[in-house]
Amino acid sequence: MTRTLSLLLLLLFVDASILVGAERAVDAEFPKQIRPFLVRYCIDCHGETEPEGNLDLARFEDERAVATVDAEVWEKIANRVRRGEMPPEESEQPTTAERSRLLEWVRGRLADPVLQGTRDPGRPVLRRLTRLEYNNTVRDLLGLETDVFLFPERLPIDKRYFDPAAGKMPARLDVRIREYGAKTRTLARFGGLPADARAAHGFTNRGDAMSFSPLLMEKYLAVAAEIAASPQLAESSPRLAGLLPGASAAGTSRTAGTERIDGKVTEVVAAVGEFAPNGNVSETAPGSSASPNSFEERVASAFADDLGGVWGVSKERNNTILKTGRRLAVKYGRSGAKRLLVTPSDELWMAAFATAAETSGDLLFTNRKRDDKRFSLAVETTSGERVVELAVNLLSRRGESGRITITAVFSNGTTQPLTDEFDNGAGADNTFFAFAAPENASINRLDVDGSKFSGTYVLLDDLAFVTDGVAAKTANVTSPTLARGTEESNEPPTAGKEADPVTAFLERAFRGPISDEESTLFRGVRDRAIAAGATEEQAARTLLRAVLSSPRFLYRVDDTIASTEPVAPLDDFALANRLSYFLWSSMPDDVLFALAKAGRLRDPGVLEAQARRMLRDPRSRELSESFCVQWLQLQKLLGARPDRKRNPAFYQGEKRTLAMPMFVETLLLFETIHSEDRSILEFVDGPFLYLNEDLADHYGLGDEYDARLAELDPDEAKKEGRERDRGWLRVELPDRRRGGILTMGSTLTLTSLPLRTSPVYRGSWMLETVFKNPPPPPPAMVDELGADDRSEEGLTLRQRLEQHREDESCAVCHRRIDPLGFALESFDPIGKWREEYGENLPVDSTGTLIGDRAFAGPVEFKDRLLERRDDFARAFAEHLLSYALGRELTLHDTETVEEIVSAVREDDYRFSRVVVEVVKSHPFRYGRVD
Amino acid sequence: MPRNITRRTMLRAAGVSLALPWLEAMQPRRARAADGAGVPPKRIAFVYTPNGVVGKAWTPDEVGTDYDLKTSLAPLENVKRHVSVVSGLDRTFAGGTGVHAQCGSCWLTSSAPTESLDGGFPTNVSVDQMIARTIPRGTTLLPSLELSCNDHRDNRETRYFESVSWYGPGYPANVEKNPRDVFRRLFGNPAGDPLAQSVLDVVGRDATLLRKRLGKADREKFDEYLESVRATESRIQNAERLSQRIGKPPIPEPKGIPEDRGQYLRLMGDLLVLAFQLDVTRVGSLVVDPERWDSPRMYHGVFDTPQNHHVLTHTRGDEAVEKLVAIDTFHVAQFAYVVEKMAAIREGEGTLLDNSLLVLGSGLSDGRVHSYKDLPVLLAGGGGGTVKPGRHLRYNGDEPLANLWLTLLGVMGVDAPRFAESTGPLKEVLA
Repeated sequence: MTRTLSLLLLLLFVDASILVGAERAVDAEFPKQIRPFLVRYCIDCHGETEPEGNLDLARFEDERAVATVDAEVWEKIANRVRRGEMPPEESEQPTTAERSRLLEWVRGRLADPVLQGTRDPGRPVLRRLTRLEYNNTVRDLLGLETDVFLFPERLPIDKRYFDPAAGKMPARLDVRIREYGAKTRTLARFGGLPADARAAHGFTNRGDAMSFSPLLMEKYLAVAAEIAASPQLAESSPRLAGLLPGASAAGTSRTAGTERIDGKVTEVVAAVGEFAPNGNVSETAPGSSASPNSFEERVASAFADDLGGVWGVSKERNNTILKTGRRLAVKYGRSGAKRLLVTPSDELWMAAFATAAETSGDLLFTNRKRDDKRFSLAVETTSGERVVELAVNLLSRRGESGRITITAVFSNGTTQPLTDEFDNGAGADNTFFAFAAPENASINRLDVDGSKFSGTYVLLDDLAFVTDGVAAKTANVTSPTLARGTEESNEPPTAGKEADPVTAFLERAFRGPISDEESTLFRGVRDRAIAAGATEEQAARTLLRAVLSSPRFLYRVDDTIASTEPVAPLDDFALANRLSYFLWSSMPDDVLFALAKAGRLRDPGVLEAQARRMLRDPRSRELSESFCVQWLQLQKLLGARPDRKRNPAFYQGEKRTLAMPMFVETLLLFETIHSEDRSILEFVDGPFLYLNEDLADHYGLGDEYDARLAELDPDEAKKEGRERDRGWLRVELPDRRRGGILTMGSTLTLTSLPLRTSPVYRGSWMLETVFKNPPPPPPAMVDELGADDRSEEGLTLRQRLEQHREDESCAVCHRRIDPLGFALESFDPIGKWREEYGENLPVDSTGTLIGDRAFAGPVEFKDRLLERRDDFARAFAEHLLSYALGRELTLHDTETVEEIVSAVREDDYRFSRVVVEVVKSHPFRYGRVD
Repeated sequence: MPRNITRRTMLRAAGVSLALPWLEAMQPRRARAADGAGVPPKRIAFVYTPNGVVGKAWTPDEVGTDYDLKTSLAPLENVKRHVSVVSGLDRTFAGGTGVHAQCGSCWLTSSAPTESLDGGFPTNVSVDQMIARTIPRGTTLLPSLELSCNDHRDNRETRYFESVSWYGPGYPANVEKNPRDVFRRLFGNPAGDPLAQSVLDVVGRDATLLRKRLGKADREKFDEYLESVRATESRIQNAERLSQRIGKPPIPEPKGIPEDRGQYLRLMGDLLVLAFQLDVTRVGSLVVDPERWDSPRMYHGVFDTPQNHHVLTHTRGDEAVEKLVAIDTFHVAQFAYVVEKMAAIREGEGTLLDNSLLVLGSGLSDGRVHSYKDLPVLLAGGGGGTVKPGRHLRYNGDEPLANLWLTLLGVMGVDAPRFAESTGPLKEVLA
């Protein structure tokens, strides 16, 4: 029933389109120019009887025969003629003028009559946030320092090296790679979202490839609920603090994230007034300055008077590490205004030990490294108040015994050691250590010595202190977000009335202005929660949950244009969002919002300046991790399993393979071209590569690597047993066989089969990525070549492929595909250079490209590509434009692409020029109105 | 615009709402025959295996009831009388799209190969979804359940590889891959979260505000969100009643995706069987693995090293064929496990299997040449006495697979004159 109805509607729809076509004035161009073109160059093969590729062009006898439903056909014709693929080489060729006349006509014919000749920027497509964009948007909305959840697109690479603002990548890099899929710290521990499907020949951010379903809705609801309920939220989200007016007051939150103290970012934890509430301190170290009972009272009253407190490790800190050199600021006193800085000499580990009995809560702190039982804790207040009393509990565990000494070091140079013997305590031996400073001195440090103790960890809990309350200096304490904000904005801060926290939060979450109705709706969530008895914090969490589940958050609706004109400029907020999701895969920052509010992003100069600023921001890492990875299809590399026996070099022991180093090598090249603003032609051929020792050996560049290392760090070069995978060097290449993405281990491996290379895969991959002209999929019922490259019937792979091409229907595409693949036959399935296949068969990497351009080997092949460098620039610009717009490009975008290419050519093919021209392009700044 | 109709109609059906759950009338010990509502419902599930099968180790030589199981089907020995082997059914390839992409995504599609409403793909409402939408609203907690055992993390394929279930042209159902999430979906009690309803309420109203701002084409796309909100609301309402009916879930919550491939497949099978047994849903689909997907995976207990199923189909030599047969046998063994399990669950006068239909198949026969002819199909269960299992049915010539789907639609009570390129129902399948 429904199907019949749909068919009927479809017919109606088609009829209507034909009518629109018929209303158009019949143009004189067709009989004069187009029909003769078809007759002369096409109809021989594409005639009525058994047309090639099932494409009958004879039926287009006059203008009227060309219906709107043929749009796709004409677009295809135009594209193939434009690229010089048709008519085929052996046939008579049209002149350049004839070609462009055909293109012009097709473009005009396909133009929407509603536009009346106005340039068509394409219709913006409604887009949902991708999983990556969702993660980044929540991260930046809340100001988190970690990802929101674990997801496979986030590569397991420590990106601290990436600093595009420096404008230069260091010659030597330490790139740490975690195990792929290993857990890392995130806000949400359980929730996640399903993967986004990639559009065919495109990116995951393509609006038309996205969908929504009840199951996805449930996933969004669940992850929003988990984020909003996260116990870490108050601590990790400085941005949310504005929504939690009650949270900074005493008692509601024990922790408060980070602060910048005297210029250094410092983790802040809150002290409490209660010492050892678990009531399981049974021993007191001989010589202690106080008994647990009297001290307990004293610290409680000191806390009430802003003169002290207890740090007992709150549970949000579970399994976190305080790195060497990092400090902990303990916010103490009822007002929470003062800070005690604790600086450990070694890494400190905050964790729960099931075998120990904590004296408060269920966390303790201890040495991070096993058996690192001698360490010290330096203490000082930011106000210069003296620490006059200090106490701590030492916890005991079953089976551990021996002597532990804690020594207090005072400001006058004297010390006081306290020692206790532990005996297999299992919590029964939890011991109280207390120190008091001599008159006019303060306690500066505690030295812990457990070297005579049998356990591997010295377990501590409840660090408690009392000060004299005499302030001697003022530390500069700011919240890091504020500090960052002032550094970033060269722009004038937004004038006018300051929005209230809820409105400000909603505007950021929804990434643009909100209507009164929306404001009322979401304020209602918070107000109703409070009316129902929720605390401010609970209400803020409920609001966050609703916001993160809402369509305003999940969709990018900023692109919607309201206008009576058929084509209209996008507003400033739309531009801010387009910029930030293009370059950062995240929401706009404060600078972009401020400029949007001021209505200044419409100015192409401001737009360019912002794009350039954003390229220098570390968030632009997503250009390599999202754009580059998808562009080159690097994900496939992670699933590649070359045959172990024939490619032993790929496997480095049981778990490690060359896949991740190859992946990193490619990203490093992209990031170098990006951050040093080099020519994009270096993707085709370049003078250097970043290599680690494993890859250098794999490429036969071990000597070059060693020489480079000796130059950069002679000591390291002499060392035995270096970590071969971590040290990355920028190595100048001795010849041009390597250099660029085509001759890299990553791309060569991901386009190979386990047992052999595949010139067909390599060729189609190149057509798709390098030329953005993917071949059509093979038809059904094709007998593929075998999976192995051992010769069959005495024929090499190339000979077998050539046989295949004797069939004309195969040849149409394989003429385009195979030569590209043959050029890379000098590289084996894992990208190693080779002169011959096994069995004494020499490798033949010669070939001829369209236009009768012959090459012998990969170097000449690169030369041929660089002779037509604009073809590469065009394809790269098309990929980037499609990624920026979230839609597939159409024939109407060719003019834009040509404009970008000529600007890029003028600017020596610089990377930033491509980005800037995309951002300033017509389809980026304008949209069709529905 | 035509797709709007199909899509919306489908989604309405997908949104469950309030009606009397069938099982409320059949609490365990209640004598069902006594009250009139006591006919057990029919259930149906479709299991998809990728890359075709090795025909010579699959298709029996004899037809009828007296036939020998070849190597790949040997695991069916114990349940042979409950399973029919159907051979000789074809699909037509619509040119212009990938062979692998199309054979999986369009396995169950209702569009004829010549009708492509989704780019070049003839995807449209799939058989399972057509059945799901005719089950009265709110009868079950979920209108249908879509599962996949593709745990590969290197997501790089398009939507045509993930799901065999489609709500409409170009609009796939999302699949659930983690057994723990499936469990929570079946037995979790979202009504226990007092905020869930009010959050949905707010986002639903926000969606209505937003929709006004959108253009025509975007609205159509955005309706997916609105309908998803409604479906979730109804599910929350039904979930509360379901949890009262079922009480404590009958199995413990799975911890996640089992390492062992067989365990993973069987656990998903267990969950599907449970969902049928407790009448949480009556329609299911399970993608064992997506088409192509050149990532090797372990088949525990079959090979010592990971195998690349797709590459094996294009590898020459007997060794590759042997491996393919081992993979086919492995998949059939997991299917046999589910069939046996359903055959052991008493329901009314017979078993759960008697009241259900389980289909296993692939969109290719010979993966090496990507053939769409003579597709492998196993059909288990009695469909409530409508289907006669235990035979090898061989069709010759151009008998479309769509004819089987048309037949099953009829069995499941869906009145459809045609389905895709069908020419008529397969009467031989019926009892």
